[in-house]
Amino acid sequence: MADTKEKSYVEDIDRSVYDIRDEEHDAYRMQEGLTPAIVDQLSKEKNDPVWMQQFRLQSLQIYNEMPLPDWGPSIEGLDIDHIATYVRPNTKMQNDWKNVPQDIKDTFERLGIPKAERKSLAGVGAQYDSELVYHNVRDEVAAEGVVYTDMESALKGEYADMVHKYFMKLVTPHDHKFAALHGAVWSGGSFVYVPKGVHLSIPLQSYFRLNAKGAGQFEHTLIIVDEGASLHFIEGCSAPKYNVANLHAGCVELFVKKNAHLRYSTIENWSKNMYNLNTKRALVEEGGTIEWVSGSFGSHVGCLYPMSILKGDNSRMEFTGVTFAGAGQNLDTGAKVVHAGKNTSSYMNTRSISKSGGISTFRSSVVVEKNASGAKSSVSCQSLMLDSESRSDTIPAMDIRTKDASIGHEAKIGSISDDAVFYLMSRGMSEEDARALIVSGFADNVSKELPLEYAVEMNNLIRLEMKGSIG
Amino acid sequence: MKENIIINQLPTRTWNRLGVNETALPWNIAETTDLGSDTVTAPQAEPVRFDIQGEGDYSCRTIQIEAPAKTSVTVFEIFHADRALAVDTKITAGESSVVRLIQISDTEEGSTLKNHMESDCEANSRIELIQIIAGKGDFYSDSYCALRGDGSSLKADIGYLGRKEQIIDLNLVVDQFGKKTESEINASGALKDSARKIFRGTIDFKKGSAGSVGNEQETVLMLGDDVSNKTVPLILCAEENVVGNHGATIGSLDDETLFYFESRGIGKETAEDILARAALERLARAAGDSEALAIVEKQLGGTENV
Repeated sequence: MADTKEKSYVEDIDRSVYDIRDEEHDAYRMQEGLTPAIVDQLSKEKNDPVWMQQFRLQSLQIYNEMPLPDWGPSIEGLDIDHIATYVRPNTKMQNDWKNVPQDIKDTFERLGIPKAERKSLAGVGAQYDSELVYHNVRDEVAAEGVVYTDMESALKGEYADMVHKYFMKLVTPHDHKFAALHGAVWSGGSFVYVPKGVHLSIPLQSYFRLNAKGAGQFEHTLIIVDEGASLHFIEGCSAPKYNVANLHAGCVELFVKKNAHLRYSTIENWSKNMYNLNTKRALVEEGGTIEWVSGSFGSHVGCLYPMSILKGDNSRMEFTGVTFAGAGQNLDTGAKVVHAGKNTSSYMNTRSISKSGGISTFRSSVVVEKNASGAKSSVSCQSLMLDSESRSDTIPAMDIRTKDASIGHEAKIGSISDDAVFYLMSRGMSEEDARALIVSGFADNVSKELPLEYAVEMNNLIRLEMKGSIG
Repeated sequence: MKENIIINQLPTRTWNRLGVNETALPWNIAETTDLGSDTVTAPQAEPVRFDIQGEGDYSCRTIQIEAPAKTSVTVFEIFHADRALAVDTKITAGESSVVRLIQISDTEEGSTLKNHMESDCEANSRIELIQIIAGKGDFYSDSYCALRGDGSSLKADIGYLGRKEQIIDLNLVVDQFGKKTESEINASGALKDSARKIFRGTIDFKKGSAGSVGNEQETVLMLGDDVSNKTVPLILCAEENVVGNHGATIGSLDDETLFYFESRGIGKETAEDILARAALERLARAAGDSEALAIVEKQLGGTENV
C-alpha cells in the first residue's frame, strides 16, 4: 500500500431540488422553547382528547428529568429553547392535490411525490412542517379495509381506541430523552392498519417536508399489520438548509402480527442543519417479518437505530442500510434487535461511506435473551473511507444469554481499491465515473431492495455526491 | 473500605443499558498490600518468570519491561491468587525490539485478579501478548498498546475457560499511530455453567497511520445453560489508507463439528470438553513453556473435570 496517493476532489451534493424554500406564511407558529404552557397550548391547538393532553404533560416532565445521552455524536448545537415545536401551514389537509396551496404543491411536485403516487403508490401522505397537507389512499385499497390516514384523524375518529391502545406503548417516553420530547410535542404522521390476510402489492408512502426555519418536526407513524397481512411502507424526508438548527424527533411504532410481513423503507435526505434524532421500533409476533431498508444521506447530526423486538417464535428481521456522511455531517446509524422468541433470526447488512470530513458511525446491538433458543443472527457492516479528513467508526455489541444460538458478526473498513479504479479506467471510464460506479456498487445492498424509482433516486444521490473534478 | 474503581472503559461509549461501557470493580485501595515492583531490561537470554502470589485480602504488584533498540525479551507472569490481586505491567519497546509477554492465571475460585497492561512501541518493534485465563477466579484485564512507531506491531492471543459463577471481563485497546503498523487480536474460549464474559476489543486507526492493518477475531463456545457472553469489537478509523477487519462467532457446537467428532466415535459432551480445553492448551503450547502447560493442565484437570 502506498503511503500517499493522488487525491480526487469530490464535490458535495447538488441539493437545489431539496433546498428550495417557500415563503413562510404559516397559519400558526408556536413560540420557541419548551414549557408546560407551550405544551398545553399545543394540545389545545390540536384539540387533543383529555388523555393525550395529560400524556403530553407527563412526557414533558420525563423529558425535563432525563439527562442527555452520554454517548453518540455531540448535540451541543441544538438548543430546544430556540426551536419552534409546532408550525401549522396555512391549509387544512386535502385529499386532492388541486386544493393544496400552490407553493406547497410545487414543492412536492419538485420532489416527485404526486408523480410517484400516480405511477406506483397505493396511497400518499404529505406532511409540511407540523401537519399533513395531503393524504389519500386508492379506492381499491380502502375497499380492502386498509386504513391509511393522518394521526390526528385516527386519534379522534373511529380508530381512537386502537390509537389509544398502541400509541407510544412500544417506544415509551421513558425510553430516552428525545422519545419523551416526542411524547410532549408530537404532531402529524400517519396511521396505517392492514386487516388480516390483506396483501398490498404496491407501497404506501409518507413524505415529510420541514420548511420552517428553526422549527422541529415530530411526526408519529403508527402501523399495525394484522395477522397474515403484508405491507410495504415508504418514508421520505427533506428540508431546505438554514443557518440555524432544525430538529427532527419523529417516532415510528410498527406492530407486526402473527405471520404478517412489513417492509419499512426510508430515504432520509434532511438538510445539513438538521438534528435527526428519530426513534423507530417494531414488535414482531409469531412467524412475522420486519424488513428495514434505510438510506441516510442528509442531516448535520443523525442518530437512527431502528429496533426490532422478535417477540414471537419464528419471527425474523432484516436490516439493510447505507449511510453517506459528507462535509459537516456526523451520522450515527445502525440497528438493534432483541431475540425473545424461539427460533428467531436477524440479519443486518450495512454500508457506510465517509468523505470530505464527514463522520459515519455504525452502531448496533444484538441481544439474545435466555429463552430465545435457536436464535440466529448475522451482522455484516462495511465502511468505505474516501479521504483522511473523514472518520468511520464501527461500534457493534452482542449480548448473548443462551447457549443455543448461532451468532456471527463481520466488519470491514477500507478505501476504494486503486486496482478497481485502474481496471475501470482501462476500459475507458474517467476516474470520477469509476469511483462513482464503485461507490454505487458498494451501496447496492440498499438500492436493489428499493422499488425501481427509489433505487434510481438513491443512485442519483450517490452520483451527485461523487461528482467532482479530479485533481 | 471498598470503593468502586472504574476499569475496562470503552474508548467510545455506546448504549448504557448494554452494560459494556466500563466496569465498576469493588476494591479496597487503603488496605491493599504493595508487593513491590520489578524491572526487566532486555536483552535476556532466557525467559524471565514472575510467579506472583497475592498476600492478604488485597495486594498489588508492578512489573516494568524495558526493551531498548534491537533487543528481545520473553516474560512470563503467572498469577496465583486466592483473594484479590492487582498486577500492573508497563512495557516500553524500543526500535526494532521484540517483547513477548505471557500471562497465565492460576487463581482459585472466589478470587479476583485485576490485570492492567500498558505498552508503547517504537518503530518496527513488536509485542506478542498471550493471555491464558485458566484459573477459576474472576479475571479482569485492561490492556492497552500504542503502536507509535512506523512498522510496529501487536499480536495478542487470548484464551479462556469460564466456569461456575466466574466473571471474565476483558478490554484490549490498540491505538495505531504509526504508518504501516499491524495489529492482530485473537480471542477464543468457552463458557460453562453460569460463567459471564465480556470481551471489548478496539482497533483505533489514528490519523497518519497510513498503510496500517488491523484484524480482530473472537470465537466463543457457549456450553452452559446460564452463561452470558458480551462481545464488543470496535474499529475506529481516522485514516483512509488502512484495512481493518473484525469478526465474531458465538454459539454452541455446530452440527458439522459435532458430526466430525461423532464420526470418530466421540460423543457430544466429550467433544465439548475437548474444544473447551483447546483454546487454552493451544496457547500454552504456543508459549513454548512446559510449566505453563502444566498449570493449564492442573487448572483444567482431566477431561471429566473441565
